[in-house]
Amino acid sequence: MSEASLLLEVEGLAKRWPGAAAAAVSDVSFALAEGERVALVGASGSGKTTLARLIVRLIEPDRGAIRFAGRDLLALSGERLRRLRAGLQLVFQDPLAALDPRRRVGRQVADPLRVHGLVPRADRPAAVAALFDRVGLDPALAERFPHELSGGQRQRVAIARALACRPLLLLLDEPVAQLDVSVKVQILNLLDRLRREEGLAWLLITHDLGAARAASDRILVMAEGRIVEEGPTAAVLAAPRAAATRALVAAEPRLPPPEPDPGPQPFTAPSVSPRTM
Amino acid sequence: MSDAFARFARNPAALLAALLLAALALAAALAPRLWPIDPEAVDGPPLLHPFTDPAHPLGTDRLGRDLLARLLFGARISLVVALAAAFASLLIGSAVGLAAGLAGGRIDDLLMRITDAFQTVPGFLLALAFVSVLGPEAESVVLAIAASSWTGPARIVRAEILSLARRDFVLAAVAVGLPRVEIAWRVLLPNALPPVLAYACASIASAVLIESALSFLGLADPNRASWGAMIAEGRAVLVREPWLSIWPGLALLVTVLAVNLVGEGLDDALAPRRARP
Repeated sequence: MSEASLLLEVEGLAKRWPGAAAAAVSDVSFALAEGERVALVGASGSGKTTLARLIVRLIEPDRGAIRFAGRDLLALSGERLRRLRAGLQLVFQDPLAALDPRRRVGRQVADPLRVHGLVPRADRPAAVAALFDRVGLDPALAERFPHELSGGQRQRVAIARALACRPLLLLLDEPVAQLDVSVKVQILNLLDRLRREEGLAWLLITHDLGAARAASDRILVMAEGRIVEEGPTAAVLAAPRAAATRALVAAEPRLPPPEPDPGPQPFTAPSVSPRTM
Repeated sequence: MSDAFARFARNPAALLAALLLAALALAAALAPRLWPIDPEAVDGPPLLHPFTDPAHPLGTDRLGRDLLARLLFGARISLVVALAAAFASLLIGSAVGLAAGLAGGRIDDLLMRITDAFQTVPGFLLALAFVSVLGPEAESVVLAIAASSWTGPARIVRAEILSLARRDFVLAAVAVGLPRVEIAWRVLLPNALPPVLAYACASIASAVLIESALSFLGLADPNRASWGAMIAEGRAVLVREPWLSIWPGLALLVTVLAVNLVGEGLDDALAPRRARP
């Protein structure tokens, strides 16, 4: 990873909620290169979501520095902050909560096109239809309200809205945790296709090590607000050093080793493949 | 929204009350055509008993004015003043609540202390003070009622804004880059309004009562028939000729009851997730 291609640099980021005994995020530093896939894993309550929201400045940090695309994110405000922030988009865990219940989803996808002046008004319906198409949704669904869509469709809408900002980095906050297993795979595949097509980088926040293995090259392990281990995903998960990482690996649900194939038998139940991701 | 409508239609009491109010409003609006007798004209013998003369089915008052005509024209004043006052209080209250909830900090403190100050004075006294200073015109009655009842909507809107501001879809709107004004207008206000609308609908009932009480005390325009003024006029002969007060009293009772039922029905229809007894 060369210096020139660094997309996001986080240095000494810290946040303690007023009245809390321990910091939610303390002294977190890491960097992310253009097009890189990084996973951020940790038990619940380890500060992953807070970190993601600090990075997009939905929460103001107590200390630290965030550089995105070579610019100091914390020094900006108003119009310039809005423009720079469009480049790093958050995808939320619960797509139903992340979409405005009272507005048609097409309008919500059109918002970034409008407020960032990306697409003139006359071309917006076509642009929204194209975005729906890219995330595998029927453009006719643009007229629906969020509660009229399925969970997978809602997450696709949320992804389309993030894409509309023309981001360089996606912060995926447990994007498939609330979806059915079959839909999970579809959404992860969709994200991976979009990432390759758009040259996006992502920070995948998850507690699912299977997803991290499949969808990241490098992994950050978080515990009690700190990054306790960092390295290539396969290497870290194969030989975890930090206690938190070992605990995560140990807690990972495993399928029992495959039994020797007894040969064709009548009336067997369909088998489940051990790794679907 | 169509769901809410269906839920409202399934509530028989609210539906009946809404129809009743619609009929009353229609009758008031069409009063000169339905019952073309001048409510201020001496039109028959004084204190004619009800149901004795088909020309004056509800009887006449001490000056021989037709009571049905006075009742219908009184409905006009009562309903128009009450609607205008409820609308004005909704408008003022929402603006104050929105400003307080969005600005936070000192502005929030200042606006809420002003709200407190208004709330410490009993609403009716405040309305009384306003009317005695501004004079008996319908406009000043509207203003007086609005001044005594905008605090409820203000508190509700502020509380809704504060709770909405932490919700994912509002954070998503920030992350996508919607300007603050647009978030307030397009996202926060529409989502904060339903409980306020239900409250405002119920507050029409109290506006009807305050208007009647003011005209009962002779503080409203003495040259126009009004329910409160009719009750006041009937008071002098209450023991011998009670119907003079009974008709406007019944009209008030039915109107206030109907408005409250509609308000309750709206509340249930717009907030379906809340547990109902």
